[in-house]
This record gives sequence, structure tokens and C-alpha cells, in this order.
Amino acid sequence: MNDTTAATLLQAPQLAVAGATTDRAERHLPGDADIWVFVIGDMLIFSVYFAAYIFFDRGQDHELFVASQRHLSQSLGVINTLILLTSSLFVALSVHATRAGDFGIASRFLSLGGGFGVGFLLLKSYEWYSKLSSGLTISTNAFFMHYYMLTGVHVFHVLIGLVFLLVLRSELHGTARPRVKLLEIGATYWHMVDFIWFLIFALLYLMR
Amino acid sequence: MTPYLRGPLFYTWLCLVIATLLSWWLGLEHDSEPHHRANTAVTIAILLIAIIKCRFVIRSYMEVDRAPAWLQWTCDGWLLLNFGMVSSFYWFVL
Repeated sequence: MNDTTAATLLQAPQLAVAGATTDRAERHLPGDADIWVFVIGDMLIFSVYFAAYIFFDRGQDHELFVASQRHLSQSLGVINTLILLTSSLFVALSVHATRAGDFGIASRFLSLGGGFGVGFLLLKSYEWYSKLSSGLTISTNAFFMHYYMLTGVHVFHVLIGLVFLLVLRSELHGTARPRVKLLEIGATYWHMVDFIWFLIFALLYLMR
Repeated sequence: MTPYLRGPLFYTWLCLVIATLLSWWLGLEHDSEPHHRANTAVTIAILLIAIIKCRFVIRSYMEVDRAPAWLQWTCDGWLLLNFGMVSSFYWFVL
């Protein structure tokens, strides 16, 4: 073994350790631990609801659920999904712009994100109105009970998310150096609201 | 604003849009199929697309791809739990 090979072999573990340290240093927890405890808890609560929906109700009377599901507008569902995922894009871009110090652009992205969130609520309100005016209420059958419960709880989350976005907007406008951490916390919550909707959309509108 | 829209987040959004439209098409009732019948293959495909979309949002928008390993595992575990639970319950009760 020549000297160069021996030196390379001796340095290898050190390089590996240095690489691991760098990797750990580059890892970044978006927001803080508290918001993740909250978000993961919320995700688990929704999981329990989804399991109960499939196991106890949908599975017991599948034909009723499929027949009731046909009263929902899949087109409205898909438009609402596109609205919400576009809203999420703008909120994610707002975090990036804040990091780059482009606070004006960040604020505009945040406003667009919130605007799409309001659009989601308006379309959902129209959907509820059309169902209620057709006589399809929470007491019609088990499917509509789950429909109003799941979409209602989700709308409640959207409303909380919009309040979050307003707080973030005032942070961007009201302070000289907006806290990126705060933007990340609000964005983390908003994105959870987004991807929970993906599952609700699949379970209520699409699955057969 | 335009430079930000040319970044990787835009491509995530594009994938999400395509996946949403694909699952919508899968969920449509096609004339050749009997109504009111369970369609396990379509349902599992729709669920899988929804789970993949969730993962896109978690990894990209929520920046979990650069988060500590415990958070990545927790999120992936939750996605697996949901897919496994819903698809197996669906399979079991029908």
C-alpha cells in the first residue's frame, strides 16, 4: 500500500463523519416542533374518521353510498381541489420570497393564497346551498351525514387557516424584519388543510 | 414574482393538477360500467393517487424533504397508515 492510498483510507471515516454532520446541519424543521405536534395530531384524528367512515358506514350499505354520491358534483369537487392546491402553491412561494427578503412579493403571494382560499369557501358554500335546496340535508342518510360532517370540519380548518394567513400578512407589513419561522408555521398548517382535502375529495366524491 | 413561479414548486403544482384530473377521470362513471357497483381497482387507484398527491405537498410545499428524518418517517408512516387502512377496510367490508 503506497502512502497516498493509506492517507486516503485514513481520511475516509473523517470525511464520512463530516458529511453526516453537514447533512444534519442542512436538515431544517419547517416552523417549529409545536406546530408539527398539532398537525400530526390533527392528521391522526382525520385518519380515525376516515377509517370509521369506510368500516362502519360505507361498507355496511355500499349501494346507498354510491347512489347518494351521484348527487354530488364531481366537477365542483375537482375545481375546489384545483383552487386549494393553487392556494398552497402561492403560500409556499410566499415563504420562499420571505426568505429571500422580497417581503412585498411575499405579501402578494400570500394575498393570492388567501384569495384562492376564500374562493374555495365560496364554491363550497354554493355546493352546500344547492344540496340543501334540493332537500339533501345532514339527516337525509348516513352518506350525507358524513358529507356535511367531513366538509364542515374541513371548512372550519380553512377558516382557521385564513386567520393564520391574515396574521402572516400583518407580519409582512407591520415589521421591518418579518419572522420566517412564523411564515413557516402558518404555511405548514395551510398545506395540511390542502392535503386533507385531497383525501376527503377521494373518499366522498370519487371512490366507488 | 415571475422568477419564483419558474422554480420547482411550480412543477409540483403541475404534477398535482395532472394527478387531480387523472383521479377525476377515473372517478367518472363510464357508460360501459354498471352503476351502483363497487369497483375495487378504480377505488384503489383513486386512493393511491390521493396519497401520492399528499406526499407531493408534504415533501415539496411543506419542505419535509429537507426536514429531520423523524419527521419524514412520521409523515410517510401516516400516508402508509391511511392507504393501508382505507384500502384494506374497503376490501374487507365489500
